[in-house]
Amino acid sequence: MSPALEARGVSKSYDGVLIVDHVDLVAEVGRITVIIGPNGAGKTTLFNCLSGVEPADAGAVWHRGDEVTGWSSDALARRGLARTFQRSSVFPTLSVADNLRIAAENHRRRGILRGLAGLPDPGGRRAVVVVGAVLADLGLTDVAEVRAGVLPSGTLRLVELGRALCGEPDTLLLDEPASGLDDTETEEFHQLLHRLAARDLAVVMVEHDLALVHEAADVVYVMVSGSVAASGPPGEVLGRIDVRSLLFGRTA
Amino acid sequence: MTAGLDVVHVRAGYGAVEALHDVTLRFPLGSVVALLGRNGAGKSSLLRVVAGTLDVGSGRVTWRGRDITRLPPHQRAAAGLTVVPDDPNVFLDLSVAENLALFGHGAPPEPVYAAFPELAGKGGQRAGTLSGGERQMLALGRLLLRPGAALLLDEVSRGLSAGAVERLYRVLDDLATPDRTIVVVEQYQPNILRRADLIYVLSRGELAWAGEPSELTTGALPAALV
Amino acid sequence: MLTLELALAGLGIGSIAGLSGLGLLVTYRLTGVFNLAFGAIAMGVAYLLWQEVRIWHWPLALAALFDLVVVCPAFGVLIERLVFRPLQRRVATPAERLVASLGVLIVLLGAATLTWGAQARLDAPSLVPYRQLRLPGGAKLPLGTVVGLAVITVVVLGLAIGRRTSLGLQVRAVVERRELAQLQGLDANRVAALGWALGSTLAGVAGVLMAPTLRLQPFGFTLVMLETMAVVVVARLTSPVRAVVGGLFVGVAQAELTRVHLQGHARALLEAVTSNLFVVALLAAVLVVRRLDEAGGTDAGTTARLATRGELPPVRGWWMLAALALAAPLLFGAPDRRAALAVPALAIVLVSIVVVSGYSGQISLGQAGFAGLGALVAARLAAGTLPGLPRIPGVAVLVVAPLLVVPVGVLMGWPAIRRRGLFLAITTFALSVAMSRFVFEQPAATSGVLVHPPDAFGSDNNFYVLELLCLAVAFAIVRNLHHGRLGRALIAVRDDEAGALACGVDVRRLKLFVFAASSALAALGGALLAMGTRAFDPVAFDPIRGLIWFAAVVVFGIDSAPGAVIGAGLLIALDTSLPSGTSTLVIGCAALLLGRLPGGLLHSAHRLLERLLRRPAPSGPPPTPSRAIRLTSAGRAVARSIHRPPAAGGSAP
Ligand SMILES: Nc1ncnc2c1ncn2[C@@H]1O[C@H](COP(=O)(O)OP(=O)(O)OP(=O)(O)O)[C@@H](O)[C@H]1O
Ligand SMILES: [Mg+2]
Repeated sequence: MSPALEARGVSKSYDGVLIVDHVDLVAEVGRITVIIGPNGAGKTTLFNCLSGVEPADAGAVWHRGDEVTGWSSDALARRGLARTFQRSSVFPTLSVADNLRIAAENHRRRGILRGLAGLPDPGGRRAVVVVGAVLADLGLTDVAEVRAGVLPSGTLRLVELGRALCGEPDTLLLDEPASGLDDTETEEFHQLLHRLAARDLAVVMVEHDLALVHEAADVVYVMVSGSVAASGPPGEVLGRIDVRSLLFGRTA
Repeated sequence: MTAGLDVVHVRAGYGAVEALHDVTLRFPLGSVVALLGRNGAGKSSLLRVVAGTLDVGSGRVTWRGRDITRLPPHQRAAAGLTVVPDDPNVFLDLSVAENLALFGHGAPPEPVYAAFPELAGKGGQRAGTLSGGERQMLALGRLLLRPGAALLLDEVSRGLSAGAVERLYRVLDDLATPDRTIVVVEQYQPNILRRADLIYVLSRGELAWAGEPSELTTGALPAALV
Repeated sequence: MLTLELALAGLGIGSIAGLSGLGLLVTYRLTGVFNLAFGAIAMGVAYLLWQEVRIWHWPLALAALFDLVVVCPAFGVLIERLVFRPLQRRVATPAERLVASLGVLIVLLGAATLTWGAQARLDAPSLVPYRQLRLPGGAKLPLGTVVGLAVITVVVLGLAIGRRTSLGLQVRAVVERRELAQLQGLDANRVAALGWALGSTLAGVAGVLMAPTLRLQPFGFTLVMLETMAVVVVARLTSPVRAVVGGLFVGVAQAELTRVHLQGHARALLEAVTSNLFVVALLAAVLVVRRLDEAGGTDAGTTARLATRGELPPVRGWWMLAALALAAPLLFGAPDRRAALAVPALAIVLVSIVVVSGYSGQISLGQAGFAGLGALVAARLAAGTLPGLPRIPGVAVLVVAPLLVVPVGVLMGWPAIRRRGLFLAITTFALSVAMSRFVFEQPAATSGVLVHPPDAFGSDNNFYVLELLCLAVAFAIVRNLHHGRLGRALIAVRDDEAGALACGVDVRRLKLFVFAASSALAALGGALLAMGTRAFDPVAFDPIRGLIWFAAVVVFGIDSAPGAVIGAGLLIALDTSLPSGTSTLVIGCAALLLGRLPGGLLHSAHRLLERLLRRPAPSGPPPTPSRAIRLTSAGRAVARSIHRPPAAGGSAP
């Protein structure tokens, strides 16, 4: 079976500076792939290239075996490649439930004219069901009707995760999903990750919390200055002296 | 301990929703205080009240014995309060160097580049294009260039890599002097628990627990945090 | 062939345009507001100087000094304090501030017209004596041009130096994020007031320098200044030097073009192009320039947050008032009913603004262009004089004409699709100016056009009923667009475009679609408007009129269709019963108050009523949300869940 997501030689530069430098990455179904690395290593930029938010300068990306290089981010989202952002991108004026519902309603193209004519949306009922299930899964049912703008940042992380899940994706790109979560929430999030992987999702995430990485990751990529410095199972990679010095190296 | 920053019987909120219910907290000079609590407990609101960006419904805020409850934010800054607020905490349209010039009122930016080499060489880059962690480091520049006598930090370690968090706390260690109050808001951060003189835990807009880190072993803190 | 004489003559116009564009740009950089009122302030100061010198016989130098050193800064401080500070406080978007500046423009225009009348004055006092300077080589340059260029140089240099000072940095910080600047110890109010004082002084300088060259006339003077937006766009809102060069270039080109002589139609076209070269430049600029450097543009959400859904409780019950306003004319006597014919037609045009700007927050200032085009196309279709198309009989015109305008809307909307906020506003305005100058005002397009209602609807009563039917269709479109799936998607796009894309929303298609629907509606409204008056009047579809319409919609609540109807009713009622210009003044004044009226008049009236009808809830724990003040069902849920984590309260709205 082809991997859920595969990248070969992805590169991106800003103002002549290489930010992502020929990165190869494979994310398998049912696995949690974690990208770690110092601040400014290019992790978010890599995510942007993979999810179509920004075009890569070079390299190619495959999603479930089909090449999707250069696809726009909304088209990729409808294909099943969902993502969250490092800085919250929830819709502040909509309720939590409506935030999720947008993803549930738009992951398949549906006619605008149909909506304009006032005809009922064929997938509408299903969308409501999906939203309800995800809300329950993330423990957000209590705040379902709350306007997202008034919620604390930790809760917003969960809302954004829920939004990604409502598109019924097969591949999830999560950019620092646990930052801003408190202790209990982090633990719940850890459980959730495993439930997701068990549901045959491929999860790729950026994370700084090494304890969480240790517990959750199946595969770890260490990114430094735009390129992959090491990759492999967490026990192996995180124990390596050179990796530790890369991660804590700039202490001096 | 001398009078530092005192928040006395403060009520505050957003519209009809009250976020702080009659909260009284003291942050003495010479202490490092950790302000903990779950999401939505009211930590950020408390910092906003102290900084002057959230109006107080009732109660008082005093700083070194002076009532500053009605003082506008810029006069509080002049009185020695240095705030590193919630995101967005830098000027996105200005360059890194320009941000630092504002933070330091013209002081040379080198100490920041020394503490956070990730920013060195990026002086001309627009702050809006920095990575999440770099942006946070830039915001911390305030502490290195012109630290006031009261430092109020809102979840500043968020988005920082493990190595950078270590460096941040080393900076805070240097800043902890007898004539200064440091208030650190965090979700959960072992680093601050080790260094704090005093821990407050807020829960649902009220003080749920107060004590010293040594009391941690009793298990009281985890209970209050849940 | 270029000639030096003409080039030097062109420098005169060019320096004026350069100065005005420069002023606009500098004001924007100093205040974060794209001040549409810049031209109106210039006009006001020019008139004031005229009044002081010609009527009160003050000495010229003293009057000028008084105006520029006292009046201008004071006016700047005044509007900062009263209009823009409340907006800045609630972190209003550039778009909202744009509308507020539109309010200043409208009020100044209205006040000037009431005070000094609409006729042109040719005796504006000139600060610079008329004298020709002899250049080496024999060419002559008027002293005025030299002074203009000198002022430009001073401003550009001042800007280059000021930008690097710490004050310059403070100004930029306050413009970008007031609260953060305050935490940094900056007195944001003082810095902002300074920016406005400087900005309006610049407008004053531009005004008094230009008045002798241009005719002093409220609308004309203001519009000429607005056209110099072209050079601001060329400068991408950042580069003063480019703005000046752009202005000089267009001025010189205009002078050189007078040498070219053509025959027949080409000649008429050339004349139109030459006399409207700034409009052409503006159009070219908005099509060519890809991005504007908006202040606070990085993540600041440049899309208008004018709509209230989610932020304020929905208003209900105003349908009754709207329906009453619409039903009343059926009881009117003949002359009043004739006037009332304009109400549903105008309401449809206003609803078209609600469609495009209401939920998606895209600002379209160009609806007058589509409305005019709709009127023209409908008239020509009915007469069978639209090239390449047969005569369309009866009511079918009202279906075909809007459909014909849609491709124009889409074509012209295409560059606008990727744009947001300010840039979109400028683009649509430019399109409407161009349409007005090159279509509506061209005899070739409008001469011999006869407009009358479709055959079966000749009587006023029947026509009125037809209009009501059309309005009902417009309402249905708004309803379906703003509720359910499409409505949610539109709000998502407004709130966070990247987030919407990540949810799979096809943002481009959605925006284009909304644009198309809105232009069709505007065309329908325009056609009805012209049919009601039985004439095609270019003045009725003037770009400034489009601005006023937009302001009216914002004032009544940008996402409120009933608000649009009530607004249309009020505009027409005021226009028919009171001196012309009153309605404009009323709208302008309300726009000035936007900072204090979140959600518009309707919302504020609603809140006031609710507050009067209910007693405010007691405060204190446990927090009881008071329906009368702010809470929606969402808010109530917050309050309920505040005893249960994770709940609201820790983060600011
Ligand atoms: N538009 C841009 N112009 C210039 N440099 C940029 C731009 N965008 C990003 N960069 C630089 O690229 C580098 C990588 O940024 P990126 O956001 O990918 O880092 P990251 O690995 O996600 O870091 P963090 O852990 O802090 O989030 C940073 O040094 C940043 O300053
Ligand atoms: Mg990142």
